[in-house]
Amino acid sequence: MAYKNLIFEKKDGIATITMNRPEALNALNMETRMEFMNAIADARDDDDVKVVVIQGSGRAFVAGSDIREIKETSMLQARALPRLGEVVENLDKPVIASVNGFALGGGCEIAMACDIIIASDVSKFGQPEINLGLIPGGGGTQRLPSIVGPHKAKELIFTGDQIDAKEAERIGLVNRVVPAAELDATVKEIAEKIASKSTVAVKLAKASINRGLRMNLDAGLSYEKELYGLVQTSPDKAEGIAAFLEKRKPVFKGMPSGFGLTTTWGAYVPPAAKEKKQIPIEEGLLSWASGEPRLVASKCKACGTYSFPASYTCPNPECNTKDVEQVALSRRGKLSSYTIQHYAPPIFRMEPFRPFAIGLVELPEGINVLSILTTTENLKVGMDLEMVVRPLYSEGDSEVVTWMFKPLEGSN
Amino acid sequence: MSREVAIVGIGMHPWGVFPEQDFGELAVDAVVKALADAKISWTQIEAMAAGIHGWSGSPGLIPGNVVANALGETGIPVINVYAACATSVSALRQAYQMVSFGMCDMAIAVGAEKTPGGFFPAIPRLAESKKFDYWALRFKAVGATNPVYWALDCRRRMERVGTTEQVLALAKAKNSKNGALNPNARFKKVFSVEDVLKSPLVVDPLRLLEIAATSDGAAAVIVCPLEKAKQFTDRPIKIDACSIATGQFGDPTCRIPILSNVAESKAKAPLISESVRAVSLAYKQAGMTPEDIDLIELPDNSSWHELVYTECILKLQEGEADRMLEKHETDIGGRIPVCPSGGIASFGEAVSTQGLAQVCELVWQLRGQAGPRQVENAKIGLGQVYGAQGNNSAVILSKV
Repeated sequence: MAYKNLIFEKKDGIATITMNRPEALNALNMETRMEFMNAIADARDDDDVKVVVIQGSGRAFVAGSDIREIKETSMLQARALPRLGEVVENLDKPVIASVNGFALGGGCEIAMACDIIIASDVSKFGQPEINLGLIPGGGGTQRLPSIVGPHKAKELIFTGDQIDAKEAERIGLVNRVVPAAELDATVKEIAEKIASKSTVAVKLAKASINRGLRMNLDAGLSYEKELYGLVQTSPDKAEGIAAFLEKRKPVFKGMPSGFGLTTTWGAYVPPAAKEKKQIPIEEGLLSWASGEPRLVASKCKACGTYSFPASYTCPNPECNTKDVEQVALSRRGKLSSYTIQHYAPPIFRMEPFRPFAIGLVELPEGINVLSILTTTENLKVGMDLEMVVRPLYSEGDSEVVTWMFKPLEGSN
Repeated sequence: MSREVAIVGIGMHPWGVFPEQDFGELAVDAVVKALADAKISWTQIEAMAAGIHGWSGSPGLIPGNVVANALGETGIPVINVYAACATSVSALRQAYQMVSFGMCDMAIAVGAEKTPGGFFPAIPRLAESKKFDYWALRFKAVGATNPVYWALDCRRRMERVGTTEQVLALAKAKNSKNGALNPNARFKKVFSVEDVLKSPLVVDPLRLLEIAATSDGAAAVIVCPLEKAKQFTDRPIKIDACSIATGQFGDPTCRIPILSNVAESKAKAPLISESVRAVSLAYKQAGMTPEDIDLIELPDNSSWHELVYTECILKLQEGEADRMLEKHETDIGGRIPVCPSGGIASFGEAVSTQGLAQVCELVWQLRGQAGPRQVENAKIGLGQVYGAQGNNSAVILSKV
């Protein structure tokens, strides 16, 4: 999707969300919140994204909420506002806050919901809502005390005072303070390091810590045990151990989405392949009656002439016109001729379009069938082929399929 | 009791793309020119046969009536015919038959076409049918445009007799040279073999410059009994034959718009059986053989067509047309010129009128009016045109 108030980029497994309304010190308005949630959802659904970085452009990380919007906010609206902190916290991938300037109010709250906070030496933190006659509404009264303790949190929230980066580091609000010029490099280094780890292990570690914080110690330890059991079933674990024993660097592959907290406890069950419903391009051309896809033809009971698609007559003028039966054609044939078409006729949908081969395939029944070929490479007249059913395009939850012929391995 | 028939007037609207004109205007232009050529008036026409065009058709596809409306209704019989790309010669045959059988003394055949531009799309289904709509199905399921069919047969020919890419390019190069001399042709640029081979592959092995463009155009031909022809022209052209044939069961051609056909090893009819038959019928009707023919107009929808139809018309072995092209025997000035008009290579195909364009060219050649592309001593010419789904027509015309 297109973003207006933020910049969303992905590179080398790292997705970066840059809040980009510098003239408003990146204050949060409704539009920005929606865009932010979309960006997080995109990062969540993209298996290539391993780490997310959040930063701000200009002088601020995020300086709070849009005051003009707050002015109009009703009680019900305030309750229904999307909480970006929760969105960040619930993302099952690590999130780093790269704080380059003001992280105030909602900005401080987003940063606190991140897994790691790196701050530049010019950055400022605070929960100034009290100055407007408000209280923090994005998790500030809950996360801040659990990070810095209730007394320090109350001091910050009651006074509305801003603290500088050094003080934030001292009270344990941020992981590290670096000179502004080194902020990006530092964050990149940490992000890359995490991205190189097993995404399964990182995800389970985040879940264990975040959920554990909301439980009593017994429940938390018990929860950790379950996840520790679960992580044993990950192929990344096998790789990690093997690499260690072989004294080499591990190559982690991660896991397909579906692994982890939503699966059954215990052994890893691979998620079922997303099976889309297949719809034939036209009724009456294909049959799966034999268990495999076949082309449906008609055969003359007298002269044995085949027609595809099935006809209600025999095309042989010598024969009794309507004495035909429906049959399934052989799946194997030989390439009689082919062409490569570099163009898509208007009603033909192939998504995505690419130049494709069309062949004339001779079947043992003595007829040639016109068919798309699955490849344009190494085609040769006389080669052996086998019929398959392949999608041309998707339509909703279904895919529209047609028959194609595929070279048999070793055929030339 | 049949009479001999002659052509006394021809008219052609140049081929091209004319977005501002509808097909009626193109048709009327061709008819008016043909009337002027025969030095007669519209009211003298006693019957009309018109080719139906598939693309920009008037409601109900009755183009002949549109022409009659435009020129003035005289109550004459109007026959509208369709046979895909062989349409207009079917129209000529109607006019020819009416005159030959004595139903009238002055008949006109007309074809006018507006094509949609680019590859022909699927023809919209005119009547809902429960059976497979092949015309749409081959596009939808396999993506096969018309040139796909040509390319498939072309590659089989290359496998059988070793036709080369150079020979395919040569056909276009030769026809482009002829077309450059024809004021009615759409494309007047001369292409070398190298130019053609540099053009992009569209349906491997056929290239952009080796397959027909689609054009707008119109042509009209006026016929009357041979015995009366001298009243209208001092150079009447006799119709020695005007044949129609369709495909035969067991023909292994990869014919538009099939999804399957008979394997070559089980073929029971010759390749392009409709053309072989139409040409044979024409020779029989005219009492002639290929040796009698001085020049040929054939449907070079692609370079492959030029080769197969040259062989079909001259009754040669497969592969011999390649040699003739290489030896320039089919050039203007060669032993037997093929497509001196420039052919479809230079005109682009105007479906329902292409056959009449061939007839016009043969008439100009036989009258000695073909200017810089004149074939020396042209006395007898053969025109042949083919249409999808197994249609074919052939005419043999001679100088009287």
